[in-house]
Amino acid sequence: MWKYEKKLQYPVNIKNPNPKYAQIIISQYGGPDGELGASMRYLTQRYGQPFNEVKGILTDVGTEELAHLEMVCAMVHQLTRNLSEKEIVESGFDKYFVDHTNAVYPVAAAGIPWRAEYIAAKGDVLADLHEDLAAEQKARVTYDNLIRLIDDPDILDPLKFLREREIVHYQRFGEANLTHSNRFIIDYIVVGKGLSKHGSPFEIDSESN
Amino acid sequence: MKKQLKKKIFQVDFAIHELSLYLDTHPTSKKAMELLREYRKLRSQLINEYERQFGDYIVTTDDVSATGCWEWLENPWPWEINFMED
Ligand SMILES: [Fe+2]
Repeated sequence: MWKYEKKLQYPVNIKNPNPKYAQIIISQYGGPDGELGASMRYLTQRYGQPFNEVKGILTDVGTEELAHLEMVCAMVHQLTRNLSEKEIVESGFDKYFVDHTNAVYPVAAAGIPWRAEYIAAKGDVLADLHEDLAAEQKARVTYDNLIRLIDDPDILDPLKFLREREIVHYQRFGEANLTHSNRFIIDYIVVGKGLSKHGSPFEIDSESN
Repeated sequence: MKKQLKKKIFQVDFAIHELSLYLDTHPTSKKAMELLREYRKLRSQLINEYERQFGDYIVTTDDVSATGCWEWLENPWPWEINFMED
């Protein structure tokens, strides 16, 4: 289960609304490499994992991604507050506004709603951790691109924090991958241990590892 | 000042979270466990300090207010502008 903490992981306080920036930042909520996908990817993958350390890192990083999703939504919310009709039309925000007003709905920068196809859960520690390593790099690139396009210190500050978190998560997934892929490859793919019973490597008792 | 103290608590919360991620992939690190203990201690000191100056520190629905009021609703919501100032 989860408990809500009434705080952001890192503060967001944007003085000047800017619907143009909101429309590109929203991609880190509902886009292909956004934080909604990140949290769903890791929290979904947990159930198929045989190793406790991997269950742990997926749970704790997946939970942090929920906090990132909240920060991105806070940015979009603050950037689209108190807009005049003229500002809405001139910034091109009208196409989003007509369907969602000033709610924060998970879409990519180009307007495509969030899709479950953005994430994968293969039920295999090697496949899933490699997916996660790539996902963290793709999210990092998206933050790099936002940082290139945005020129407001109030927005850049939380964006840089979020970019840094992708690097830390990549590091942690890499460590989990090194420890467990070696064990997995040798025990279950090369030696075939655990595969004999029902042809599945997941008949093993995770506690005995 | 309230803002400064809130910021300090959030920073310590972050350090605690960062150490938990580290411990997930380094579960035998004594140094990380020791740091985690220190930050947890610091966190409760900062919260005591906050409560002495500004009243109950209400961040989850488990945090009960001594005033007997459901203060959860009154405190500012984190995505709103000036959350840190309130
Ligand atoms: Fe991440």
